[in-house]
Amino acid sequence: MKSQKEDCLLAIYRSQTRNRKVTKITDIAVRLNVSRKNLKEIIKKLSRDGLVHLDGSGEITLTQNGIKSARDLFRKHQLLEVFFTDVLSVKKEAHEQAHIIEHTLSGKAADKLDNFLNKPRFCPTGNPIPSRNSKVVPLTKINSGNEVEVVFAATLDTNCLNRLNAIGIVPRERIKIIRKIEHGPILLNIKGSEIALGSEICENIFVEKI
Amino acid sequence: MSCNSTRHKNNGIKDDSAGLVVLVGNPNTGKSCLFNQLTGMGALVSNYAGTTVDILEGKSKINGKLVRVVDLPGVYALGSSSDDEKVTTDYVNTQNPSVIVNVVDAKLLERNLFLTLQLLELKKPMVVALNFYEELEDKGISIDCNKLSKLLGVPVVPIDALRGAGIPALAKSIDSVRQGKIKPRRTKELWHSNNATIKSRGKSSKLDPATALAQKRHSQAAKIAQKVLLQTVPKKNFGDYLDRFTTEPISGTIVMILLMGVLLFGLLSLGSYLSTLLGKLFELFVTTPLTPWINSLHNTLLETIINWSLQGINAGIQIALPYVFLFYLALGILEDSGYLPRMAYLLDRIMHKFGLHGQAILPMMLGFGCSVPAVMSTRTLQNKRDRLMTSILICLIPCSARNIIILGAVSKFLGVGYALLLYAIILFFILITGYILGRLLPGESTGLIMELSEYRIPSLKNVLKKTWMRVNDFIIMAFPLIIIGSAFLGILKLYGTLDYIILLLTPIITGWLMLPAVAGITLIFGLLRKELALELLFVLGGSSMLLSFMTPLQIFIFALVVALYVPCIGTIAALKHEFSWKTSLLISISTIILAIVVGGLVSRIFLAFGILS
Repeated sequence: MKSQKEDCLLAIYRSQTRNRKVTKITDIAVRLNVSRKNLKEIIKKLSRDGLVHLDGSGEITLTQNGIKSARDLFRKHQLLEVFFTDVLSVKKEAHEQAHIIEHTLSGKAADKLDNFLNKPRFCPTGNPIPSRNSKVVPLTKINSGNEVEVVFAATLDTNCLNRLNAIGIVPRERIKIIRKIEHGPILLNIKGSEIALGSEICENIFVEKI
Repeated sequence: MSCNSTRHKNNGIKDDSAGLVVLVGNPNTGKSCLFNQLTGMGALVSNYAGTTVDILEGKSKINGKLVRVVDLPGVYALGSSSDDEKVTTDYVNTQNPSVIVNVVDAKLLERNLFLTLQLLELKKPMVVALNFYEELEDKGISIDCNKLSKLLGVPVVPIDALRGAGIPALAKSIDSVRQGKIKPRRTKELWHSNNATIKSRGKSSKLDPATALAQKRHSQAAKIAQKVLLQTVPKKNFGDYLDRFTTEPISGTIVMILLMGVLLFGLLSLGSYLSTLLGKLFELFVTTPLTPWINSLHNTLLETIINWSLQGINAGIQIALPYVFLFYLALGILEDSGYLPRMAYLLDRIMHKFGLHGQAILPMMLGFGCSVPAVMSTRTLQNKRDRLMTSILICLIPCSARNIIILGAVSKFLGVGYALLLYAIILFFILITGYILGRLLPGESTGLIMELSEYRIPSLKNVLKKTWMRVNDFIIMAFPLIIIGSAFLGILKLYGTLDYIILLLTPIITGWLMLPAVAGITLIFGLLRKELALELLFVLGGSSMLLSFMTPLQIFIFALVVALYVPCIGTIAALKHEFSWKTSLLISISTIILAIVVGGLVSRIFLAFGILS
């Protein structure tokens, strides 16, 4: 049951970081190979745990706690993948094995594994591994003067996303908050240029303090 | 076309030249400035992203050979996230340019290289022009151009587009590339970038493909920038402090209000001073010397035409020139300093109340000059809804022609206080319209994504050149119309036709708006150009003493109606060009109704409270 819940959480996380669309039950049902009825139950449970937010029209969004849990899980998965690929040299089974063990690996064991692997920054497929105890928050929660690393942008609008991609708001990019207006736009330093971003966009850009 | 020169200029240029050179680069990197250097033409140059929103074409002799040079709207990437980006991307993809000149802001090399890498993937002959190179060196940083050229596989030439340095070297490179003497080489760096393109098409990435590709390209750009930048310690300069002061919410708002106050006060006081001065000069040097000659003609028709035309010109010079000149001078300084994007940033929160965001401020500011380029510059907005809504509001914003009427009639004859009251009423209706549209139009605003360009001391030469170009456009468009309109009215009056037309308009003009019937005719002429309405009113009145045939209340209502009713014919055409006939007509008709309803109501309210009567 726990692993089902976690798989579902991870699927929502992936769907949101990957497609940056509103996640609906149908989007993840395919991935998980679970009946829709079961899935609904699981999501309701996740919602009760305060990990996801389910609105009336069936749109699922992760809460801050949800993002944290999903990232912890994702980190375990990636560390295990590195372990299976680099240490045990079972590249083909790496994903399968990691997928099973990720649910039972304790936080402490994951940290030890991280140390053992010499704190890898990328998983075998080339994606960044989140660092330990990282707090991922929307950009709006960061005070001015701080430097942050972009985790992902969850905007719904493709034009907006393409523009963000072009000016340099992409995962792992470091940006600095110069100034902000309360409930208003935020001034950022991105690659040396000063960019103003509206608060509605910043709410959907998730970052990690450095 | 109206008072702007950023429209298509490719009419009449045939494809008989030796090649097509296109200027592509990030916004505000000085493409239009380089375009002017290469072609000797007058594209508008300012210090904010999105000055150029259309394709501009000219001819240039490069190393003795004639080529077509095309200036394209600035983009951060090739794609379609806004209409101006679409214009550039479509042009580069469909017109098969013989050389792409990628204009790069040397101070923001890393960010700019993102587009450079994307352009290189097109495998077209290309040259990189490093603009603002001297400004970079002033900061104690330099770029190893040879190395950059090696890494990118195309020539890299440092230039200073404003002062013209490096242009001959750039021309030489363009020519060599065009003739195929220098071919783009595939370097290791590009192979990585290209490889990323292929990889991201696969399923290996956990990110969506577009983002994964962008990420890889950015990291490639960062690597290249790191290799060629020779020192990267940013120094604080005066601009940084000014930036801070003008974007901090409290000090920034104070500066903004003061600045707008100074602007309005300057226009009101200096404008009326200049207006009186020009009127006296005209009488002294034109009217007085010519009168004996006109009287000696002994031909009633000719006399009427010349007399009325002269009065038209007099009115134009007295009313239009001073205010238009001063406004564009002020706008030019604001544009070139880089202040406008800061204003958009500060007003972003307030704009949300109307379902828009701060970026809409830039087109709206342009709207105080002329609605036509303002409507076109809404292309920088990222969605159709925001574009349409901003355009509708622009139609209500008093453009320079409407300001002329407010300043030249209300402020001059009734006092500054009433001019301010009129502005307040117009502002009220803009806000109401914005509020209603924000709820009426489907969809949601995407939100502000805007680059704040660095503060720069405006170049006197560029500001004066821009002011001259804009005023010149104004004169070329306005004066023939003023003269023809005045002469035409003179003839109508001579043969008594005027009275019939007046009779037709009486119910609305006299009955509802309580204006003198002749005002109705000038309102129709106002469709051609807004300020024509007032100028012809002066002509019809026979003197510049407006108060002799209109009551103060009538002057006020006249100005209010002119300010609100249909934007001029130029704007109607621009709306059709950017949207559709249907939208354009709908906006026109709604504004006419709004003007008539509001005009009649305000005049009754004023009467009831004894204001201006």
